Amino acid sequence: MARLSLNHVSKSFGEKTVIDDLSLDIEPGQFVALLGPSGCGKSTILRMLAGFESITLGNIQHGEMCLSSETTHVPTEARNFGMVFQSYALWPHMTVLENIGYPLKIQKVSRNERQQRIQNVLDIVQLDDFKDRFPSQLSGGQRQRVALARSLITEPDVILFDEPLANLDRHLRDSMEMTFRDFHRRTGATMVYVTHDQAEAMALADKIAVLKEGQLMQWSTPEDLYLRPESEWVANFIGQGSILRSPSVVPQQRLSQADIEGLLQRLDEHSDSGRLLVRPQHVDLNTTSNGLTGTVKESIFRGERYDIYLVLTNGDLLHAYHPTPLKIGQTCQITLSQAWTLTPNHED
Amino acid sequence: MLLKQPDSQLRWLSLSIFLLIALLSLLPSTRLLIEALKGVNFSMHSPLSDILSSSQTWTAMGHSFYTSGIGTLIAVILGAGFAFIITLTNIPRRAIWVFLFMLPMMIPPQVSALSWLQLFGPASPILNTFGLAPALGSSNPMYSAEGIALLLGVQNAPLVFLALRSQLLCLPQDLIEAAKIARASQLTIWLTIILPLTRGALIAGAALAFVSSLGNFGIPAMLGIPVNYLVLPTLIYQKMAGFGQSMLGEVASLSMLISVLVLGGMVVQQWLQQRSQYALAGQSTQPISFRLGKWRTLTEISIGTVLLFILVIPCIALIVSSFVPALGMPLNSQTFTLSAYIEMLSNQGVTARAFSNSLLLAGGASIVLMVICLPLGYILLKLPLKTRILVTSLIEVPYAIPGIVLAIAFILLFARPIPILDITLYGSMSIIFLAYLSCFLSVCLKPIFSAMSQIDTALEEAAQMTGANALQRLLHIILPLTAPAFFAGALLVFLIAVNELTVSALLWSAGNETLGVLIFNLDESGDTVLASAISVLVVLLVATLMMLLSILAPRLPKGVIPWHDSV
Repeated sequence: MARLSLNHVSKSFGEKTVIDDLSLDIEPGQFVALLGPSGCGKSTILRMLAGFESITLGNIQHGEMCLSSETTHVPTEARNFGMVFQSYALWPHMTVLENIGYPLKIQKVSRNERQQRIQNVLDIVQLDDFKDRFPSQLSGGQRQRVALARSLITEPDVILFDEPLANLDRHLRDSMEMTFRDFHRRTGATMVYVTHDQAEAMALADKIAVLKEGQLMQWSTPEDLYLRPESEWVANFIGQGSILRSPSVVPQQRLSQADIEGLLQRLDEHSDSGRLLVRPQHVDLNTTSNGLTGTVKESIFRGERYDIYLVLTNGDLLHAYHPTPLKIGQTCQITLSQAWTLTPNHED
Repeated sequence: MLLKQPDSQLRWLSLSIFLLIALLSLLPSTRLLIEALKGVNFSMHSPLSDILSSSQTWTAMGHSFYTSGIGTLIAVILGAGFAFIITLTNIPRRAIWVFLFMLPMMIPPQVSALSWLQLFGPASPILNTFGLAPALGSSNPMYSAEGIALLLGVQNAPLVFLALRSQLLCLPQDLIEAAKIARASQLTIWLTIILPLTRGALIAGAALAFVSSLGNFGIPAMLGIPVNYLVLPTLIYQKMAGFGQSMLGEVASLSMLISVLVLGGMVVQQWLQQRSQYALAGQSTQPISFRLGKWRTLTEISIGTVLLFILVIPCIALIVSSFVPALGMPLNSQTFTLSAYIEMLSNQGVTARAFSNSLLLAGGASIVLMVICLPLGYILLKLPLKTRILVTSLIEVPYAIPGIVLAIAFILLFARPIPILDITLYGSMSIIFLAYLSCFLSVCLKPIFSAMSQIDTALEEAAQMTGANALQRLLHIILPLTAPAFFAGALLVFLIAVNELTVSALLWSAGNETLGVLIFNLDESGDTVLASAISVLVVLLVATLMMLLSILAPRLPKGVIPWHDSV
């Protein structure tokens, strides 16, 4: 097991730069998610790790070995990584057994050992009853598990996942997330997981790289990403919440109720360059304080609670939770129990 | 960097493949170009200027344009009629009609010419059997410009049919429904909606039929040479056959002339085809289907009658001619004889040799081409789009130019011993074999490439992740997934090559004759009974191979087998 590091990696296709000076250190055994909207370059990073794409600048190291740089390129075949594809990429002309056993055949593992290892992974992914079927005879979830087993069979140091749950329905996704977590615990392999679904990334990963247009926005644990986002963009992208304008304020601090009220009272047209992130669970609508007021714009039933959207007197939109529905147009007294200060987006 | 993945195995593969394409596709046409332009200078005497100032050239060109023009007209009437009826109506037994209509395209031209010759004329066994034959001494009406045009039309009608049909299948039913709601009459719908939308495809199909007629050798050779009615390909053949290598310069110039006409026509046709299909791309609702109602039986009878005349009766004439003892005798219980078949199958002499030569050449070419196409298709897929189009066009050239031109190019290349190796290929079977490889590479590649490009790239990448190298990926993943396309490509090559006449007409030598050459020679020397018997076998072979390919069709990309009806 060795550390996987990307050092100042850039990738351009012709004139277009898709990855710009990216550095990440992935520790052995870590489960890392690459998260971002489509076009952010997360799949390109995965394909560079797999060796399907060369890199333009910088280098990728695996322990002592340099996998890719401007001058060297270890071909995919020689990397011993595993990969689970979005389309599963199961070979339709091979049975489940043949699909899973193929990597061992390529690596010339003896027949006895091959059978032993196939049996082990079949147990892990619980596919023993299906081993003689062809991929076309399997359900989506079963295909995914075959792909998982195939990526696992060579006991690779690193397993790459390219949006593996994108083609599954919601219900199946939850159970596959469970399978992935279990899989990671049992194998201890380093995993790099590409997704555009933040809930999926938060649920699975030890550490998340949030990407936007080829640039790393934040590289931290899921908890940090939620509680301490570094920029307005990340705060908008991760979790629920509202971003309120405020007078200029030092970013990256937690504010108390008194701080927030003091700050918002000083807000006017000429000093609104600060940004506050307010999570809906920190908005209290059952209050009699004379701080903020807002008008209910939308009240949406969500089962366990109502999502309430309010327009504040300064025009900002605020998201809150409430146990009962509220009338549209109704005015509310609002208390904000805490907020997190952000670095504003550049274009503002 | 040419390839996305620098990989030593791939690099070697692609290097050798490009060398091969250069040898098979680029070299012959370049050699021809050099010969044709040799001696072109400001003086009045070069082969090119001689050819251009010879009245013989312009007469043959006039003949070419006349026969191809009328032939195209016939092809358009037949092809468009069938395409409209078969595609736009709910006619039953559609698959059989399509198969039968496509059959004349696959029957070698010398065989169809022979069958039509047997049908008319004073010696016609059918007409004699019914006592309808014209008086002895009168000429066979097929030996004429109009005879040539008629057969060109029948042979190329399927090209118009295919071009039009693929466009008609893209016309969604709702276009017609919208017109009906606007209260347009049937006639108005035809004139204002269907015709304008299919005009491009119709013109493209006609251009293809015209170009194909210009390059056809078998039909004008069988029907024109005996009455000294020469078109460009037969003029080249006569010059070569009559005067040999001293004429190479002139012949090369003539070949260039016809190649320019044909390739120019191809470019126009491709442009029209792309333009006509662009407008309707992406719509995939229910295709149009007019209900025939009470006209259904009548429609079936009428297309049946047309097929009877263009396909069935000539074939019967051929079969009847093969059962009589000598040309000119009627067929009855006294005259019926199998002697031609016995002679053919008695496993000796020139007939058996031609059979084994053709089987060997066609079989060998299909196997070798299949092996070449595996890495070729794979590497093409990895090329950037522009390079890929360039390479595929180069591969297309030897198939697009008339066979007679390709034969001239090969004579030019191999008339003298190959330098360094000092091997003379001219006069051996290898020269025909090489010409077949060059000619049919694109035939074999098309289904294979289209199957390969439909494979999800992740399937190969998944194998790459497991450590499989390029060769292993090709053999374990790509080949099994595209196997039906390989069979289809090889069978198509075999089907065309086994009956081929045009290329071998100039390249054959004693002992190396092919089936096509044999039929041609037997007919020329007056032994039409034996020629007919061989032709009957050829037609059976063609129909069998076509049906074999139809069986494969459901496992192939759409459109690979033109006579398979997938709707």
